[in-house]
Amino acid sequence: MSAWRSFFVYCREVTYGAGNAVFFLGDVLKFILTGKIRWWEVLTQIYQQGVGSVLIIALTSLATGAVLALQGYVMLNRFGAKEYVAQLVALSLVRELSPVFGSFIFSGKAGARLTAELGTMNVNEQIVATRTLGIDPIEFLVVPRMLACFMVLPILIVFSETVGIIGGYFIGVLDAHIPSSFYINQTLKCISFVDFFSGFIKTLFFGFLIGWICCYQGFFTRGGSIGVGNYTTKAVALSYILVVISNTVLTKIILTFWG
Amino acid sequence: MISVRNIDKEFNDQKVLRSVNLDIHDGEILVIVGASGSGKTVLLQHLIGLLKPDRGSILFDGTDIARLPEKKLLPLRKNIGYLFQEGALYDFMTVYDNVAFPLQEHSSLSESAINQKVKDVLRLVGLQAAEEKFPSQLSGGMKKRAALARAIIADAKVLFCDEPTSGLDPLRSRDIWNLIRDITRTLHCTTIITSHDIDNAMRIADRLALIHEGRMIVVASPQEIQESKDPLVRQFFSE
Repeated sequence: MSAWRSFFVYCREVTYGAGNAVFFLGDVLKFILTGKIRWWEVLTQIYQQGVGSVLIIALTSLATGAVLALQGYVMLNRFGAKEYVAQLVALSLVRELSPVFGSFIFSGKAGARLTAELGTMNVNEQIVATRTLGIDPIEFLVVPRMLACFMVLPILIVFSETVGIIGGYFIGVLDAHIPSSFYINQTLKCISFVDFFSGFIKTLFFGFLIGWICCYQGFFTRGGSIGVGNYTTKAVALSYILVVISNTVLTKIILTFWG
Repeated sequence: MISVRNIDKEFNDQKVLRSVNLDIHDGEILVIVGASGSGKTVLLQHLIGLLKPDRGSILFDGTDIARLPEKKLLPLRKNIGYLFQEGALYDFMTVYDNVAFPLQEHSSLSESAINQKVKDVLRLVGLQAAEEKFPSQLSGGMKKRAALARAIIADAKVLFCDEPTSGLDPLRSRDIWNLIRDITRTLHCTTIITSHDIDNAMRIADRLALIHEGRMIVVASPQEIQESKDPLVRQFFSE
C-alpha cells in the first residue's frame, strides 16, 4: 500500500512539475511574442554561453571526427572502400553526431551555468528582489537566457560539424593516405541541403529544450547551496534524457518526410 | 495608508498569521517586533504582495492588493522600496549599476541625471567610494547600505526593511537605524521595519507592533509600550 502511495505521490509531483514548466514556458513566450526582449542582455548571454563553450566543443568535435575517420577507415578498408571515409565522417557528423553530442556538451557547460546562476540568484533572494523593484524576473532574467540558448546552439553545432570534418580530414589524408583534394571534393559532394537541414532543425529544438529545462530548474531552485547543486544536476540530466528521446522522434519524422 | 484586515496565512497546515489587523499611517516609522518565527517577515511580504493571504484584505491606498494578480502589482511596486535581510543585490552588477537600475527601468531621466542622483544617494548612505565594487567585495554593513540606496533611489513612498541590522555589530546597527530614520524624514516616506533590535526600535519608531505566534498583540507608541501592563508586552520588551 505504501509503495502505491509513494508511486501516486511521485506521479502527482511529476505531473505538477510538468504543468508548472508549461506555464513557465507560456510566460516566457508571452514576453517574446509581445517583443519585450532586452536585446543587449541577449547579446551578453550569447557571448557568455557561446564563447564559453567554443573550446570544449572544438576539442570534442575534432576528436570525434578523427576517431570516426580512424574507425571508418579500418572498417571500410576491409571492403576495399576506404575512399568513402570522407562521406562517412561528414554525413555522420552533420546528420547525427554533432547535433546530439554538441547539445550534450552545451547542456553540461552552458546549461549547467544557467541553472546554477538562476538558482543562486533565487536562493539569495535576487529574483524576488526583482519583483519588489516592479520588474518581472522572467522578462529580465529568463527571456534573454532562453533566447540566447536557442540562438547560440545552432551556431556552435555548425562550428562543431566543421571542426569534426577537419579532424576526419587529417586522419583521412595523413593516416589513410587519401588525396587531399579527393577528400575535400567527396565531403562537399556528399552533404546535401537535406542532410544539413535535418541536423540544423534538431539543433534548434535542442537549444530551445536545454534553455527551457535549465532556466526552469534554476528559477525554481530551493534549498540553499545544496539545492543549487541538486537542481543543476537535475537540469543537466533531464536535458540529456530529453535530447536523446526527442532526437529519436525527430529523426523518425525527418526520415519519413525527407529520407 | 496601508490597512491590514483580518489576514490569515498557513504554510503546510501551520498557521503563521492569525486574524492580523494593522493600520499604518502615512509618514510614520512602524517597527514590527517579535520572536523568531512569529510571522514578522511573512506579514511584511504580504504588505508588498509577495505573498497572498488565505483570508482577509490588505488595502494599499484603498486598493486591495491581496486580490491583485502579479502583473498589476508590478507597477504599484515602482514607488515602494524593499530592503532585504541579506541585501539581495544583483551580484553581476556593480554597486553603481545596482542603485541606478530602478531609475533606468522606470524613470525618464537622462543618463547624466541618473548619474547625479545615484551619486547623491550613495553619498547619503556613505558609499560614494564603493560605486565600482561588486557586492561580493562589500562588507555586511556596506551591502545593507547599498541595498538601502537601491530601495530609496526611485523616491520610494513606502520603505519596507526586513531585519535591516541582523548580523551587524552594535555600532553599525545604530548607524543603519539612524540612516533609515533620516531617510524617512527627508523623503517623507512611510517606513515599516521588522526587527529583533528592541533598543534601536524603541529609539527610532513612531509606533511598534508586537506579533506573537502569528497574532498581533499590541500596536502602540514606544511610551505606551513602556507603560503597558500586558505581561507578554512587558516580558518581550524587558528582555
